[in-house]
Amino acid sequence: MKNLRSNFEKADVTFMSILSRRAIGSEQHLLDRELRAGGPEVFSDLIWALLNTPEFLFIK
Amino acid sequence: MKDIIHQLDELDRRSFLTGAAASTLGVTILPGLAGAAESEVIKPAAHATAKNVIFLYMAGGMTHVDTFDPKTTGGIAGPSRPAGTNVDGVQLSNMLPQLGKQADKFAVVRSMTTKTGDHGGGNYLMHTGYARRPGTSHPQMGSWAQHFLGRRSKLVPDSIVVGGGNPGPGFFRPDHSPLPIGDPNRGIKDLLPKINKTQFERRLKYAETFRESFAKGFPHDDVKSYADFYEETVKLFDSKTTELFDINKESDSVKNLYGNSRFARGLLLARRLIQNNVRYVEVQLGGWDGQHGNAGTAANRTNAMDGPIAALLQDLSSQGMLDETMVVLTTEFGRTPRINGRGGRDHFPKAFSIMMAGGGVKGGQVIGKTDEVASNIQTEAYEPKDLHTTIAYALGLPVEKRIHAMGGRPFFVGNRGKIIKEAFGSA
Repeated sequence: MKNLRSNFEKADVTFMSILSRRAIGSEQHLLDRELRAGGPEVFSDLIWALLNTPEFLFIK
Repeated sequence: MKDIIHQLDELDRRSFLTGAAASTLGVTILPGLAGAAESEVIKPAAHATAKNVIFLYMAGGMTHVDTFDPKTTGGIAGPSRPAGTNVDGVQLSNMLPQLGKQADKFAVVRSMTTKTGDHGGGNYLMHTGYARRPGTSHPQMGSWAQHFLGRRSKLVPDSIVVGGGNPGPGFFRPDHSPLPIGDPNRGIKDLLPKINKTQFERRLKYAETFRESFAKGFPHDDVKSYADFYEETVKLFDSKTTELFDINKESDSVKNLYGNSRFARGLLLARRLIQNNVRYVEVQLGGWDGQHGNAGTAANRTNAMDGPIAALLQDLSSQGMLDETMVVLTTEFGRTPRINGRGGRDHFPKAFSIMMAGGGVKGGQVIGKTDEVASNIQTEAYEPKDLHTTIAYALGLPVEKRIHAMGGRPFFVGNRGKIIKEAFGSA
């Protein structure tokens, strides 16, 4: 994660590891916006939120 | 083969991440979701005598001879002797002196029997009325009540389980799940977010954003149900709601009446929750299987149950709650009447005892009888499903109504057992 430069790349890697898909445009922008606004703890909150999505729970 | 490996990978990744989420991020409740039955809210039947249930589960197999069915026979009596109670002609083991003083409030059923002699299967059967079968998931009684009577309170869940061991909502929707509480002294504090409010709200905002887009693409019932359940859980974090779960708000005299043990505090919490509109509370007392149920275990466990349960009955009665609150004490099976080579008692499904009080139950009576050696039931025998039917009947649930779940299969609350009529004072 440290080697990734742009927030868009981080969004993709995060979505790939949790939901096995790339982030779509609006999700990339959400991550980008939030990461700019907050610090690294925002990132853990985003991961928390993804783990709690119905998408993570239901898509098998 | 490649597909299978891929699926295994998939499962591992999922269970790992879910587990990690549970332990590190505070996501503690994840209900199972499968073939949920539709709710149908009705009025309780006119014959209903109970509004609430406190279900006391003695986990591990409670010895009947050392509790509610004492004997004098050599090699059988073990560490206990029959002792008089506050009701003429009703005897309990001398290891339950406090309960003996409340015998007018409860009925003992000595004619219980079951076909299941293992803990897991016995626990499941006693909680659902159904035998455990792979691929089928039956609901616990509180979830059945919620299914038929509707959820009672917007603030608190309908069913709450203190101490675990309850199989959950079965084929009902996840919002029929009992809320688990680990430590009664802490109420739901253990469930509260361990992060600050700003961060918690931020997480919820993100979750909501991600959820919305998914729900649009997959407008499925389970997705919605999970979202509802999530919202409910967040509601619980409100400070007014946490207070309902806080037994430290009780007076010292009440706390002293119950005692300090975890089980005692669980019973006090049960009373407090029932008072605050929860319909069904289970409290578990474990350890009955300890070291094969030897004489030491019996003394230790009877001591643990005696005072607190006597206090619960007294408290419910003095608060005027016993008339509408049924207290049921049960277990997966009994213990061998004959003392084994290690001075203990083994599993004994053939005959065991339970206790029922309040909610229409006529106290001060003994129902059923076993022979001198506490092994053979000499009267009409009752099974776990009969107890379930009896509780359901008292709550006014439609015990003869077939419902369909899990691919259209038929199920009944109480599994079409018979009502223990004597409990209500009719023969």
